[in-house]
Amino acid sequence: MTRFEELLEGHLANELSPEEQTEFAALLRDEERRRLFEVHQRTAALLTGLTRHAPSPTFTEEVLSRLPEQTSSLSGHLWTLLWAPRVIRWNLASALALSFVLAMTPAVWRKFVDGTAVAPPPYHVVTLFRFSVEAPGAQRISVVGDFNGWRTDEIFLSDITGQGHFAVTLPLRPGRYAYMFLVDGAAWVTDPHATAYRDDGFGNRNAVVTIETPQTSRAPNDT
Amino acid sequence: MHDLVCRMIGDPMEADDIAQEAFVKAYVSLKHFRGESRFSTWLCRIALNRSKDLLRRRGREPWIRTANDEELHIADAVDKEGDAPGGALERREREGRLHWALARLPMKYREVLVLRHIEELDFREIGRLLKIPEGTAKVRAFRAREMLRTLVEDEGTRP
Repeated sequence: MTRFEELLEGHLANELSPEEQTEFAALLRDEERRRLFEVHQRTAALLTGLTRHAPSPTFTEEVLSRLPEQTSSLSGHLWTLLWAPRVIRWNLASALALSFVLAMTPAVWRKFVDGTAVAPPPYHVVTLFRFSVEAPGAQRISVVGDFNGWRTDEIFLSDITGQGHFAVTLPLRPGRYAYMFLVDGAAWVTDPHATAYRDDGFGNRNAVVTIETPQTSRAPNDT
Repeated sequence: MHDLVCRMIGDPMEADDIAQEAFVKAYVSLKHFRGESRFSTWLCRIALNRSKDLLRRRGREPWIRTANDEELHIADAVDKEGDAPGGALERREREGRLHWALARLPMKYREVLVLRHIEELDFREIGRLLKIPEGTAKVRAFRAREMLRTLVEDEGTRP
C-alpha cells in the first residue's frame, strides 16, 4: 500500500492527524491522484448511502421464540422448592388451632425438661411483609420478584374491597428482594411506594424491599 | 446486525433467519462475553461468522435475489422527498448494481467494505473483529473499492 493510499484510507475514515491532512493535501495536487481520490470518495459515499434492509415485522417475536428454555439443576429445583415463599390460604379455625399449638409448645416442652425455662428461638426466620398497589379497573395482579424466581403466575394480590386496592401478605426471610407488579399479565408496574429501587439493566426500575433480621430480646436470666 | 448479514449473504429473506440465529447464539454465549470489545462489535462478529458459515455451506458466493427483487424493493421505487421525478428509480438501479457488485467480491474484501462503509466501524474495531492487523484492514478496504468500481463499470458497459 502506497503512502497516498494509506492517507486516502485514513481521510475517508476521518482518522488523519492535522499533519497527515497537510501531507495528503499536498499529494492531491497531482491530477491523477485527485481523480483516484474522487472515485474512492464517491464509491464510499454510495456504499454508506445504501438503503438499509429492515428485518421482518415479526423478527423480535421469532428471536424470542427460538431462545432455549432455561434448564435448572435438580439441586436448583430443590432449593426453590424449599425456600421460595408460597401463599397459603387457610380458614380461621386452622389458623387459631395452629396459633394455640405454637403458644402451648414452650409450656409443654418446659414440663419435659425439668422445669427449665425454654429459651425462645434466637430469631424469627420470616417476616410478614404486605405488598399493596392501587390499580382501579385491573382484573388480576401478581407480585413477582427475587423471592419467587420471578414467576408471574404464582402470587396474586386480592382486591378485598373491590375498589382497586390489591394486596397480599408474604412471609419473607431476611434479605433484599427486587420485585415488580404484573397487572393483567401485561403491564409491569414498579411499586410507587417502595423504599428503594434498583435498575433492572433494561432501562426500567425494580422496587426493592429489605427485610431486616429481627432483633431478639432475651430475659436477663436467659444466658 | 440484520443489514450486515443481508449485505454479506445477499438475501434479505435468509438474512432474517441468520440474524435470528446470531441473536440466539449471543444469548446462549453471553457468559463468554468478556467485555474486551464493544457489545455491538461482539454481536457483529457472531453475525459475521454465521453468515460465513452459511456461505460455506452453500459452497458459493452470495445469491442475489432477482426474480423477487421487484417485490422486495418495491418501496424503494417510490420517490422520496427531495428526489427528482424518477430519481427513486435511478437510485434503485444504482443501488442494485452496487449490491450486485458487492456480492461478487471475495468474502475477505466484502466483509471489510461492509463493516467500514455500511456498519461504519473504524479500522481498529474491524481489525479486532476480523482478527487482522489494522493496516491489513485498510489495504483490503482500498482494494475492495477498486474491485467494486471495476465490477460496476464493467457491468455498466456490457451491451
